[in-house]
Amino acid sequence: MQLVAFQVVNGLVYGMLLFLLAAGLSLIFGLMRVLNLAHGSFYMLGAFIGLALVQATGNYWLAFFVAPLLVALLGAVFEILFLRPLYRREHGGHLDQMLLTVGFIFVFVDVVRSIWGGDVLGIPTPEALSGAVSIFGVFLPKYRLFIIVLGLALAATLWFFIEYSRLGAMLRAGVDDADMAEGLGINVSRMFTLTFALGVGLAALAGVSSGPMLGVHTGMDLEILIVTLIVVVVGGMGSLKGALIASILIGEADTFGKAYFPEATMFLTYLIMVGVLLFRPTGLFGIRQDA
Amino acid sequence: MRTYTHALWSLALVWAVAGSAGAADEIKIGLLYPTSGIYAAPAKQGIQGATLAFEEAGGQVAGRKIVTIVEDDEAKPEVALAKAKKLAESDRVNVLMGIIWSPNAMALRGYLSERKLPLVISEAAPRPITQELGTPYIFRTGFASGQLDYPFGQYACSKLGYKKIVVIAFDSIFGRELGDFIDAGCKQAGGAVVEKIYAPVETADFAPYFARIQQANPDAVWALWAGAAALRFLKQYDDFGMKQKYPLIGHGALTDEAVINAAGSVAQGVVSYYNWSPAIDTPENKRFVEAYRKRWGSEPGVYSAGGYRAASAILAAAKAVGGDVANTPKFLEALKAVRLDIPSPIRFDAHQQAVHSLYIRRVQPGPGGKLVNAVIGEVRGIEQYWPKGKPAK
Repeated sequence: MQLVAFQVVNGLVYGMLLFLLAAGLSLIFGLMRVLNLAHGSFYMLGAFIGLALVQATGNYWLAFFVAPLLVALLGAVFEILFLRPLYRREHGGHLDQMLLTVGFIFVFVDVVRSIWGGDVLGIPTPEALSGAVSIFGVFLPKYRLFIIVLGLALAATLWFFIEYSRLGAMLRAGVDDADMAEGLGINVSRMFTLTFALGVGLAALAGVSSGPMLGVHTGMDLEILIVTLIVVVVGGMGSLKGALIASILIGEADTFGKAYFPEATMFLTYLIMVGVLLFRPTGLFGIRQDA
Repeated sequence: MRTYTHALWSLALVWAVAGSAGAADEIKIGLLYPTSGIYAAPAKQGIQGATLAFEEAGGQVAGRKIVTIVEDDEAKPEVALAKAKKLAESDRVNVLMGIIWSPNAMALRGYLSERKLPLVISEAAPRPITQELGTPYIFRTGFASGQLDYPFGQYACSKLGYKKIVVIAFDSIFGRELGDFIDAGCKQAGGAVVEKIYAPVETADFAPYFARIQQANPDAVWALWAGAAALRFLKQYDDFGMKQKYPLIGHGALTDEAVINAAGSVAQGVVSYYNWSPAIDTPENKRFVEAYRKRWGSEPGVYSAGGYRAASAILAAAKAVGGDVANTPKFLEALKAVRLDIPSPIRFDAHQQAVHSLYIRRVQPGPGGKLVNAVIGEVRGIEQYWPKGKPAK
């Protein structure tokens, strides 16, 4: 029983990390129809910039807040410089955008490698969250519990923002029908930039907060990208609720799979994806796509 | 005009002959390392180690100049073969050294035997190449897979006193083979491996596997992880308080110097084994470490020692034949008799596999506070391990 509880918590930790990535990827796709394959790279950049800030200042919390902001800023510049010129192309330039973001996977990894080298690096766990607590006899690192709290808090904040704020309403309008939203006087172009910045900022937050747990290295970008894509497909493109539920589902499936059927873990994850795609082609909470 | 052409041709001929005569006086060594891709860092270490050895020899043996040519085998067998052919046929090297990626060693075997070109493998560990698939042309100064693991299994279950061990390694032929060698060694010493966990090499989160370790409740956990995965493993193993309950032991890659420096205190106390450690407290090793630091301005790693060792073996054999490395049979005979003391002692067995010392190391702060793999035990004369029994010969 204790072992099951232990696994449930572990699955939740992994799920929350996936949620931070999937939420951004899903929102970007939902609004902009851009499948940002460089999403994992922004996750990696968040981790490395966070690491640099920790090394420079010795303060984890500073890195925790500043790294995502810097990456969000970079994301905004990225969207304006590289993605914007592609929207007007035929079919919205989908293939061009995809190729562009794939190209940037290589650019970012080379930039990171040239600055930080290929060595394995780690962010030290902040003092206040190091060590472990024992809850009902289950031994859990404090930092992991923090990740769960962080993920749930962000999910609630994002939900509140999208459902109740003016900006959120504009975002939803854009997701539903970008042309109509534009016709109603919403500056869709600015919404695109903001959403992209928010999405990659969340990815960077995932990166910097996974640092003390999973380490920092070139290659973390692709490791997370595949699973994130699966989560987004299962949850449904453009749905925050879908991203949250699918993240937890995949996180738990992966954790229990590893513990009880280690040979079939990946299979289990893909099985869920195939099952969802067969019965709900747009994902669990997907918006019907016209394209 | 005709005379002029004749004269020119004769001149060219003379020059060509003189040129080739000059080449015959050189000792040409081809270095095959994966200098690009994920093994770029180890390859660089290996080449720096070898270069140091050649420079210490004054760049010559018996008055013959040493010329080295480095080629990138990209850790791909087909590239390794193409590059070996290029080194042999166009550069006309006398001997090859290097190879980190195991399949590359296997890929070169046939060609080298045909071409009669000697190769000294510095790292690649496929066991058959110095056992059932041995050839007179391939020597290995690195270890064969199982060579260090079987005796460490014995050591862990006798000297370290563990009776129940859980193995956790990355899922590959290599990982599974090593798990079996640890099991065999431990059984021989009266213990047992009670559970073997093989997880994907790119595993990010080890927490799910910790539950299985807790269930098995062993005396110790033996782990094989490298690079980023090793760092994560050490960190998470400590985060979950596993280290206090189940002492962590493992392959040398788990506590590679780069890994423990990044990992910090979470790596402290981990016991590992390898055929070398920068912290070996002998005058020979200290000399090597000092010289390497001075030459390259960085700390030597296991691949630095590997490159230095392979190059030193070639140098010693070249010296024994008076620089006449072009005489392959004589050179091969001389290689067989090579014994080295720097950075750690080796000699060759009857199958051209180096006999190593096994160093048991514990991660602890060294002088200056930096974490090092301090040597806590040494077993000398470790021969390669024959899982199916050594052939009678």
